[in-house]
Amino acid sequence: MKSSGDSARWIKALQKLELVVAIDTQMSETAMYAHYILPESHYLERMDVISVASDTISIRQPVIKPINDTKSGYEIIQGLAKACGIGEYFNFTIEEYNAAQLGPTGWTLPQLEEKGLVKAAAIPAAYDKLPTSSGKAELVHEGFAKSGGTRVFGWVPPKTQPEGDKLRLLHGHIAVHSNGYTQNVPALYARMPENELWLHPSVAGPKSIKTGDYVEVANEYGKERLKALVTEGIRADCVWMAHGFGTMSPDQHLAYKKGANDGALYPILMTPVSAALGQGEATVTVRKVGG
Amino acid sequence: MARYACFMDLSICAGCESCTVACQNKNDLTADIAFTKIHRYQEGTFPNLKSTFVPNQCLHCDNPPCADVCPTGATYKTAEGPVQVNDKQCIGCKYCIAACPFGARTYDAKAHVVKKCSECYDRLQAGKTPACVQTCITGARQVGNLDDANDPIHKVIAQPNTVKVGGTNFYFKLPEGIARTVLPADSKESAVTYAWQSILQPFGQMALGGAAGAVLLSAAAFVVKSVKKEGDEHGDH
Repeated sequence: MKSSGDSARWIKALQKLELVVAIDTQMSETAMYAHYILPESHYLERMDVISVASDTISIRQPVIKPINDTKSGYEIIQGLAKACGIGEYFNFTIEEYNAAQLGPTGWTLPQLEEKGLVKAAAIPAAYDKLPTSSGKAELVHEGFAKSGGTRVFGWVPPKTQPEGDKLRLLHGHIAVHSNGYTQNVPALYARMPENELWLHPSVAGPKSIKTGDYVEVANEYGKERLKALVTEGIRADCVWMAHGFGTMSPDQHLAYKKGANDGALYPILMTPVSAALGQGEATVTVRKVGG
Repeated sequence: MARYACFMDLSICAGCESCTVACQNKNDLTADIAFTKIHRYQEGTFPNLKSTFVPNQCLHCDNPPCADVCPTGATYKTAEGPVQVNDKQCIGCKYCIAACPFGARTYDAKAHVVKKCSECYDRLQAGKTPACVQTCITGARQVGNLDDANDPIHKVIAQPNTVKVGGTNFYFKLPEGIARTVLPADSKESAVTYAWQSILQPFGQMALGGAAGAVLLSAAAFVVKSVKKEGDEHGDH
């Protein structure tokens, strides 16, 4: 809800649904609007499916037993399947699944669990002959046109441009927090409890905005309030904030309403061809609302 | 014997503050007390900007002013380098806070003890790395034994752009274009330490003795420190 743009529209959509079931490790906004919550074990409490990147195989495995009455994502799906009468398709444990996946590599699950990360003998990709019709990297392709673009990748102007009081809204990630999922962790909350709106001195000056002042950031999608950080580290026609803040879920006692949710200020927009989220396609106005 | 050196590569520090949190966990600290903090430093005007993360913590001075001024001997320098605090001997007079050139000591009101980074002396003695080094996601933090000719630390601190903070065994590799001035100034005996050792401490011990004297004199020392700060060329980065 905070990551896909136009948070207000997502809330309305969720409220219209007859049945919403959330699987989550904490009381996120989506969980908050769900009729049922199936609490999932934290990643340190569960085993996940092995991860393969190129010739590297790694595993996320439990380091502690679940503290609360939670289950792993797979156990939840397995339980639901059983209840729906299709349990025979999930008639294995996650350990058995991972062991079967590992089989052809010659590694065993206990070996991977001990090492955490292993290398598999992989056949190097043949870059001299690609699986395309021409056998080459194709910069011109009918598929691009069919996916809503043109045959050649081209630049499409953003929906809105900075002009006058309208500034481009940018967002990004910071190393202290992971997306929107750690703002309520006490030790990390203490490091960075809220995000700030970065704005250039030439924009802040005429509005008498100083670092630490509260500002309201608004556009057609929403309105958010957060502290200002006046800095040379941003273009004069842009503002920036870290993603993942402005939690709307009161059960996240620490993070609730701290900082601003950038997701409330973007449209729900999928870019053609690549299907990436069209974040950055928004401009905002900024005004001082408190010292 | 070991003689420990610490190294931090600021050119690859991600500013995640995992070191701060790992240290808090290791030392059972509450979130409001941090023995190592990471600050963001930035200079220039858009688009010609330079920035880096800079740590703030105890640098385990060769001649620690905090140990010099400690009236009970609670703070002491070990032969291997790490400066330690014996919580049981600390009377919470805070004079070490005034004497520390790096602002690296924190008063824990609950324990009535002034605390700081121990360089994880216990872990070092057990052959482990400090908690901050162990947790560092980019490997920016490293520790090694200067007395061991085969220790990789020798190569690490010989890298270009690496600066040693004088009077300590802390080395920092600076990102390109970032000046030495972002780092803590070299450790040297300060006016506060001198005032304490030559004037206030002997007088205090004579006149009052023990803990009460130390408390009163720590207040006096703060006055000395504030006077000294006006002429301080380094300032707070």
